[in-house]
Amino acid sequence: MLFDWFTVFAQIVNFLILVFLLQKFLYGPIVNTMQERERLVKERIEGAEQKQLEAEQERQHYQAKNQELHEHFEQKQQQAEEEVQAWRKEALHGARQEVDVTLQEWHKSVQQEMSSFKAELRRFAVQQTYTVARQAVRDLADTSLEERMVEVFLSQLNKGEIDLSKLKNSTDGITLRSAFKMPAKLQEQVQKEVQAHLGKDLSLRFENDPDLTAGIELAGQEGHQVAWNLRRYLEALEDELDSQFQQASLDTKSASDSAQAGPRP
Amino acid sequence: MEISPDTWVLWQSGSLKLNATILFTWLVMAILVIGSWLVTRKISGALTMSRGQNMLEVIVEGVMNQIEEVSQQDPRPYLPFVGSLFLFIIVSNVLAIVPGFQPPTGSLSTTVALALCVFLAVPVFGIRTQGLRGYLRQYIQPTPIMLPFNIIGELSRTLALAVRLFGNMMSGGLIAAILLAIVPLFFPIVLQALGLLTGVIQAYIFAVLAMVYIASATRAHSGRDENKGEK
Repeated sequence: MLFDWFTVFAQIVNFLILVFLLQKFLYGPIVNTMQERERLVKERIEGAEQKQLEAEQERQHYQAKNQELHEHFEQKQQQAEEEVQAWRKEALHGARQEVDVTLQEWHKSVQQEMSSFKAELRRFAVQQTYTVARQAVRDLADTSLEERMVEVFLSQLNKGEIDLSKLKNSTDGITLRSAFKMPAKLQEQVQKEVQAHLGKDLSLRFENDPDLTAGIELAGQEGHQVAWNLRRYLEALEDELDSQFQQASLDTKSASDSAQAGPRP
Repeated sequence: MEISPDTWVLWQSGSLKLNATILFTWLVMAILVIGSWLVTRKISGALTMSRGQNMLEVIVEGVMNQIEEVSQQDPRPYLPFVGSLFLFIIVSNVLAIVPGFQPPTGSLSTTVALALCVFLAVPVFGIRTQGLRGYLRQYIQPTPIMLPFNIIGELSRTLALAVRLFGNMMSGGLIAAILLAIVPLFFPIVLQALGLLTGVIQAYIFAVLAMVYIASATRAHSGRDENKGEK
C-alpha cells in the first residue's frame, strides 16, 4: 500500500492548519496592505489632480490679473501721453503768446525810439537848417533871416496872398509868436500891416517862442492861427524820413516773420 | 530504496505515528508560516517597502491574477485555499533539491489528502455561491442521464489530481536516485534541474486545476469544463 489513511488524515489536518496560518500571516496582511497602498496611491493621485486643477485655476487667475494690469498700464500710459500732449500744446501756446507780447513790446519800444529819434532829428535839422540859412543869408545877402522872413510875410500879406480872414473875429487880441526877439521896428510894421487888414483897434501881443521853427505865427481866439515858418518844409522832411523808416521797419518785420515761420516743432 | 517517505517512520505509538511525510510537511509549513510572519510583522502600507514584503506581494499578486484569470471572479475568497495549495506544493517540490529532504508531495498520502481537500472544497464553494440546489443541479446538466458520469468524473479527476502529482514527484526522485547509482557524475544534476522544473510546473497545474474545478462549481449555468488543461 502506497499510502496509509492516518497520514492522509494528518496531512488534511496539516493542510487546513497551513491554510489558516497563511491566511493569518500572509494573505490577510498582504492583501490589506496592497489595498491600503492602492487607496493611498489613489488618494495621492486625486490630491495631485486636485492640486493641478487648483494650480491651473491659479494660473488662469494670475494670467487674467496680469492681462488686467497690462491693460491698466497701457491705459495709464495713453493717459499720460495725452496729458503730456495737452501740456505741451498749452506750454507752446503760452510761450508763443509770451513771444508775441515781447515782440509787441519790442515793436512799441522801437516805435518809441523811432519817434524820439525823429523828434531829435527834426530838432537837429531845424537847428542846422536854420543856422545854415541864417548864416548864409547874413553872409551872402547882408541881412537878417528873421527880418527877411518878416519882410516877405509882410509883402505877401500886402499882396493878399496870406489870408487873415480866419482871425477877423479875434478882435480882443491876437498873439504873434516868433522864434527870435523881434526888433521894435519890425513889430511896428507887422502891427500896422495886420491892423490894415483886420481893423485899427486890434491889439497885437508879441511873444518869444524858441520852439517855433524859424518864423512867425499869428494866433487868434478859438485856436485860429496863421503861420509863416519852416514847419512845412520840416514836415515834408519828416514825411520823407517816416516813409524811409516805414520801409526799414517793414524789411525788419518780414525778416523776423520769416525767422519765426521757420522750423516749428 | 523507499518509494514513499511514509514508510520512513520516526516514531510510533499504537495507530499514531510520525513518519517523514508528516515531519517534512511540518518543516515546509514552518518555513512558510515563519517566513510570512517575519515579513508581515513589520508590514507597511507606505509606498516604500522591504524586499521580503515586495517578494510576498509579487507572489500573492501573481496568485491572485492567476485565480482571477481562471475563474473570472473576485480572487479573494479562493486565495487562501488555492494559494496555500500552490505554495505548499511548490516549496515542497523545490526543497526536493536539498539532499536529505524528502518532499511530502512525493507521498501518495499527501497528494491524496490534497486531492480530497479539493474534492471537498468544490461543493463547499459551489454551495456557498449557488446554494445547495443550484450546486446539485449541476450534476444533472445537461440531462439527468449525465448524473452518473458527472459523479464518476468528479471522483476520477480527484484521483487524477492525486496520482499526477505523486507520480511526477516520486518518479523525479526515483530517476535521480537510479541515475546516481548508474552515472554518478553530471547527469543527476541535469535530472535535478529537470526535477525542479517539473516540480514548479506540477505545483502550478495542481493549483490551477483546483481553481478550475472550484470555478466550474461556482459559475452559474455554465458547462462543466473538467479535465481542462490536464497534463
